[in-house]
Amino acid sequence: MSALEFEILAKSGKARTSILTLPHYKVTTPIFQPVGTCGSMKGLTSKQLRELDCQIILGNTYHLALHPGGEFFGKCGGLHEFMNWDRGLLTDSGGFQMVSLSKLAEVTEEGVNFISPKDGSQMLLKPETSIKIQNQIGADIIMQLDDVVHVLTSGKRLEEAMYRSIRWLDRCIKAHSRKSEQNLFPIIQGGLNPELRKICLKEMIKRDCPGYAIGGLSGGESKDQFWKIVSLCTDYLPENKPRYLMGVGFPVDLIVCSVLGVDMFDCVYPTRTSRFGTALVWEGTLKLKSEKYQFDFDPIEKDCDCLTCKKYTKSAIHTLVTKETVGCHLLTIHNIRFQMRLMQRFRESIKNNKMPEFVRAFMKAQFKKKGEKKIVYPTWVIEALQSQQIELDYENDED
Amino acid sequence: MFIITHEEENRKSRLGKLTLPKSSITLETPCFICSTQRGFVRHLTPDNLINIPDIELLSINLPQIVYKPGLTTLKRFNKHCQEKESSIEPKKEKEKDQLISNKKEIGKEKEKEQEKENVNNLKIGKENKIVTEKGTNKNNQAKDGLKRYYGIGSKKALFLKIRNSEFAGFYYPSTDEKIACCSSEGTKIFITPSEYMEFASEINPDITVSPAIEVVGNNKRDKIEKQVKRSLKWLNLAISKKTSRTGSLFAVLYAIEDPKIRNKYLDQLLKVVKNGKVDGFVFGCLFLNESRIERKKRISDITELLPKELPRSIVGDATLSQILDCVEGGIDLINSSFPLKLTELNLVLNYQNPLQNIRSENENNNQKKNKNEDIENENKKQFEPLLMNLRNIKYEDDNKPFVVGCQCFACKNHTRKYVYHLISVREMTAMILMNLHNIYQYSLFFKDMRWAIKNHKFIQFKEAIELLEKSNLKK
Repeated sequence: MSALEFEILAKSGKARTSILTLPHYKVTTPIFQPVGTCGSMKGLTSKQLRELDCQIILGNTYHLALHPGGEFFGKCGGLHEFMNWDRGLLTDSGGFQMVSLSKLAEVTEEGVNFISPKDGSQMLLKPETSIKIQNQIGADIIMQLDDVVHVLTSGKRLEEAMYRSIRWLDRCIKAHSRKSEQNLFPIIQGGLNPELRKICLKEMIKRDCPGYAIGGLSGGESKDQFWKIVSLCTDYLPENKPRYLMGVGFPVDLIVCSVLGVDMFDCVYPTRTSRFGTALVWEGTLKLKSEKYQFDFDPIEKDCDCLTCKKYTKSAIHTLVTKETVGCHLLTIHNIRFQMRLMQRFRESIKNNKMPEFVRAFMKAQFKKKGEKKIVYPTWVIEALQSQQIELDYENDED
Repeated sequence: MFIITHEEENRKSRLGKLTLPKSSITLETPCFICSTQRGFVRHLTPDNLINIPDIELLSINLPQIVYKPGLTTLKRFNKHCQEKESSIEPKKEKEKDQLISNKKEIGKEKEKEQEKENVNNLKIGKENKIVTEKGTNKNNQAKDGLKRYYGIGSKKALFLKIRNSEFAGFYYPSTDEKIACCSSEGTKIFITPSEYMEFASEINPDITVSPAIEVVGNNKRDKIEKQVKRSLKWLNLAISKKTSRTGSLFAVLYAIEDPKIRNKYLDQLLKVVKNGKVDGFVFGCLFLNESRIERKKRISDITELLPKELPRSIVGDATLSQILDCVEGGIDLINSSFPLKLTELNLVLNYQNPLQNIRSENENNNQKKNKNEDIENENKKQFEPLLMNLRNIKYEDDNKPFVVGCQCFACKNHTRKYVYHLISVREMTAMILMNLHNIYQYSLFFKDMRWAIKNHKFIQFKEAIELLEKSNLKK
């Protein structure tokens, strides 16, 4: 039983652009979901998010459970009402933060034992509890509690984690009390071991869930292994259901994984990097703290339609960045808008049957360097795109 | 240009209209000059600032922008803007000609399509201009200067001042030639009066305050005399460098404790003012821990001697009753950062217009014996204090907006419990919403005060505000 509809509009190889109809909003994929940790995007109001064309944002269950707490949402009607956001919402299970942020995180068959940062007491997060809190928060898409291990784990522990995630998925499905309003996504585990991944894929697909997430990546593995696992998963996952790759967000990664058939992404990168003064542009990144922008009177991106690029020059942002909170907000606005526009143009390119040209132009802009005749691409990008019959342009014809 | 539209019989308070021709704005006084940090109202991006009406005059403190952007950057930026303007104008004419010729050639339906296309091309044009709703390509930005650089809309005006280092908490003595200031980077800097005027001509403000240091009241007598002489010298220098780019010039007058020195200085100052180059006054030496009565007396004594037709302003973080004191003494513009101070203490201003009660009373023709008693009864019904500390756990489950009935963006869209949550998890959005609301309420207070003066209800308004503040203290 699902609370979503997934309609593929156009395809280009494994890449596809579709409409994902959720209870609160119609989302067009591939889509980037910014992370609004504790119920707000850092420094942006809901109105500004709407103007940036954000369609679906993420909330972290770990932080929301600590404050204000699941019971609170049960009373007040969910996160949508609380933060006055009428579009899509997705919550994760809380497992990842638990393992990475808490002091003691011990995993047993029952659940995850950890020390609560609120009052220092020992707490147990079971799959049932995680689902209960997510039911109370009320997001359109909720995630199963999975046994999270570091991506470079191998051997018995990895195998145990993969099988346990399947068992916990069944417990989550059983505990899920709002199947007609919220979509529960399983998370495919198995580390960098293709055989374990295949077993996990087979089992989780059997459960016939509304959509699937690929987890356990983006934690320090080599990019060569990364793209191969992503490609393997998208080969096996059913075509008529959305696929969500967790934690992926650098622009190059977004485009490569969209080519490989992923529909949804999330990452803290654009919002976090703006707080350090880095702007994302078509050609890569600009470190606006640097003195060389003091006399640069062009906007960050000439064809960007965000508030920051319409009104401000790089010089103005350079004087504000890391010194005034407004500087951070303005850069956040631009970075999020950049990600949204990038995905939008990718979707358009599939519709217009020009996806390979778009990817080629994007990669060229990202990797070309001044003064070098030939462009050097990372091997993993070349191989990943070749697997989808996209050849890159190696000639650097400077303007 | 300043016109007095309403004067009182028993008081010096007055209503006026101050025209700032550079920005085509007319302000109704007494009004609020919002203080900014580097040209930005703290925490608020321009799209958030639009939601607050009546914030048309923004103050800029020069030491904050001395290094970044600095004089060289502003000069180059202004040149860049001028070059752009001259290169765009011939283009505009070409596009107009094209539109006309296209209209004649093509039929009606095709005409419409062509127009749409042209408009769209203009929208995505390389000049990055803001397109108005009608689709015309009007340039809503200021031509150049700090307004253009920091994206401050052309409908806002700038008030440029220089605050010496004492106000940043540091004591560096100024000299006869230079003013000692503290930059935003925390470094000691000296600015000469002519450098200040040079900055002013690059920034292109509407009002420039004459370069001066604020005299601290407990200096020795000869030191005060020295500083007073210095400020006159600098005022004359500012007058000599006054241009249309530096805008109107406001002179600093010192509300020194000792009336003899004060009046002696005022005499000399007014002689300079008679030449017609000074457009207003800024009161210095106030809001420096003097008592309330002392402040009122000094303001009153000074405004007695000032020409009526020149506006008077004051710089200081004034609470509501302190604003009323100043206005009573004849002040027209108040430059304050009081709302920001409240925000940074997680306090939300809940100023509920007490005049609404008085207005309805008079309309119903209910003659009540003791007006004060009635107001007190009304206040007892109000369980909300003037300042609410949103860290308090009692707001955890409070579904109301900050102030019921407030029309600001924060109150229309969000609740107290949401902001309580944001403060607890230390999210920046809390500051944005609270600052927006506090500034809105503060400027609303000014609007209501103007209404009260116009309708001869100033005394009742003042008493009601003082009661509000007292009731807040009790709790």
